[in-house]
Amino acid sequence: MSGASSDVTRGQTRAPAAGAPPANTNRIGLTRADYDGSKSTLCPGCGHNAITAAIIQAAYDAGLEPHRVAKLSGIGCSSKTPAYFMSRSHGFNAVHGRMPSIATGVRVANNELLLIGVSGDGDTASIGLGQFCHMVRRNVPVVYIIENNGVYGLTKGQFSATADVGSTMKGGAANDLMPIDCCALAIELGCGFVARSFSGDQKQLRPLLRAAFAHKGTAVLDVISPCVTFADHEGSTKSYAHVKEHDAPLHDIEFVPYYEDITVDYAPGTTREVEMPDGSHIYLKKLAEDYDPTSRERALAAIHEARREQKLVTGLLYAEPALIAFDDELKLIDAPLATLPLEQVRPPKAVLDEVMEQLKTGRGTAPAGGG
Amino acid sequence: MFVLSDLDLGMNNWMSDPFPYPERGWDRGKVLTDEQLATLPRFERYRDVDGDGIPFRTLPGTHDPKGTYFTRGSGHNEAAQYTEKPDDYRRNMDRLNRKYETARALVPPPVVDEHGHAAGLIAYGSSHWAVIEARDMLRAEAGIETDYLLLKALPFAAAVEAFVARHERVHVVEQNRDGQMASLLKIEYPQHAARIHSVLHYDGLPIDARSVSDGIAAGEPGGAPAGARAVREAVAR
Repeated sequence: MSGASSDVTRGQTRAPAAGAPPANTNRIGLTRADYDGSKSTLCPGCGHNAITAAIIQAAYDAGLEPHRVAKLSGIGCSSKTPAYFMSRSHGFNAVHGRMPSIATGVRVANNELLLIGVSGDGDTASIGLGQFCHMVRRNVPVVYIIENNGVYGLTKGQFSATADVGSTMKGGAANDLMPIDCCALAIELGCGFVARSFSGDQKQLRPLLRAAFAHKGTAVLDVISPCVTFADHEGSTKSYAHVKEHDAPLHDIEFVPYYEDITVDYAPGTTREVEMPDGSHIYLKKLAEDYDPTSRERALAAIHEARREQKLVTGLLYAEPALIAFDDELKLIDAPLATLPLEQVRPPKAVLDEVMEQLKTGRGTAPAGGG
Repeated sequence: MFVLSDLDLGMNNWMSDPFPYPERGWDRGKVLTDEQLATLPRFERYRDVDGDGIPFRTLPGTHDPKGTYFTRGSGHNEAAQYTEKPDDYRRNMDRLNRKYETARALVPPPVVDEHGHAAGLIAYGSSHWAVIEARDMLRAEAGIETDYLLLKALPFAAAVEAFVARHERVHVVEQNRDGQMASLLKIEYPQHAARIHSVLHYDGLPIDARSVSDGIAAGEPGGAPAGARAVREAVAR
């Protein structure tokens, strides 16, 4: 859809013109409780619960309209979490690793929905790796959150494909296989928004989520989320203690949505600004020297350097907001396809006749192939 | 709902008559709009309100908070909420069974070509044209007349049982080593199981009329393949 011609952009609406919202409400007049979901059935202390809390807070802060949000997931502990936030939103718990297909379909059917996809390291980096790659290639507008704990929690703690070499299982067995780095992979595939964070770092996670809500293509957030049951021991490289010790934040992040006046007090020279297509801004307070989030090469180098130093680089690794959006590539019209009346979507008989004639004569547009 | 194709249709070019223009537009079924939701005290995604096993649904983007729900696996109650209660689970399974029964009258019906003969053929998918040709060959070469039912969908419509019941011998033609469609028919209609025979083709090549006609002739009185071959050779001479 074209943001300029509509008052709705990816689940966000412009603030009401007159009258301030009541106290304890956000800019669209909803309370924080309006963004809650069912009670979590995950283990107490699970990093995923902290990510759920960050999503709720970020959605409240952003003033997302719940009915314009679709929550999507695959299978795993992570993929249970969409039931724990925004119960007034639409939701679909898909087949294992197949959430990107569902997301693509939802987006095509209704381009007014903001898609929040929650996946895990097994769902994304193993069974769903192919789907993940093609979603990124197509730049399907999904806020794709990987709740990454390096283990299969739902099936009692086997290593996932993101487990680091040398990381040990609870029983002591060490992982010998190279990890798949979902951020590096996403950058390589041309993703325009790639960030890594830690479930215990709400200060970093919330602005990243809000920035991802404003991004018009695929936004990948790889959030390290310790599994308190199977991977919070000394030998795990995704335990709370390990991540806290080895976390290397790239920068502090502030996100300023486009409906707020942009008056920031960062000293020039210490911040870097990234403008999102809807007019909102991300401000990166530079902690790392000269980190440039618009350089794909630099981002990949940062990931590789951190791995060499056995550190975990967090923050907005790469941002290229101006990529061609999926909707534009498909030449979707502004109105959601799902809302079009039959008269508008049913081609007349002459169109079918023409297609049949083309097939008969071999002239005209060839049908799409596959294989 | 699952749409099936087969390898022969997927990988080879086929001749076909031009498709006719659909008389009706699509029907999205029992979808509630915001206007309809506004008149309802509540909406529950999996509540079978009218007994057909097919509950009403809403489309994502529906504004009314009553209309939102979380689609998940089979562990849910009528209100689409997570459940581990055995009674909820059993009710849902029973509701799905009612939906399956309702679907019998909604899925595409079989195409039946019936003239009161004792032998009935059942086939589906790309076996169709081989069966059509095989029927002509059986008639010309061995004087065997057949009726034919082209299956279009599962679950089986009432017309399928009626067809099986009306024929002394039912030959189920399929490109499948295990004769799975024949097995489904036997499970569905155990009282007719003895009449159901399989004619199978699974040599890796598309099914051909000759293997169908030989298979059927072998199961028909006086129509052993050798006989059919003799007739064929006589015709060739």
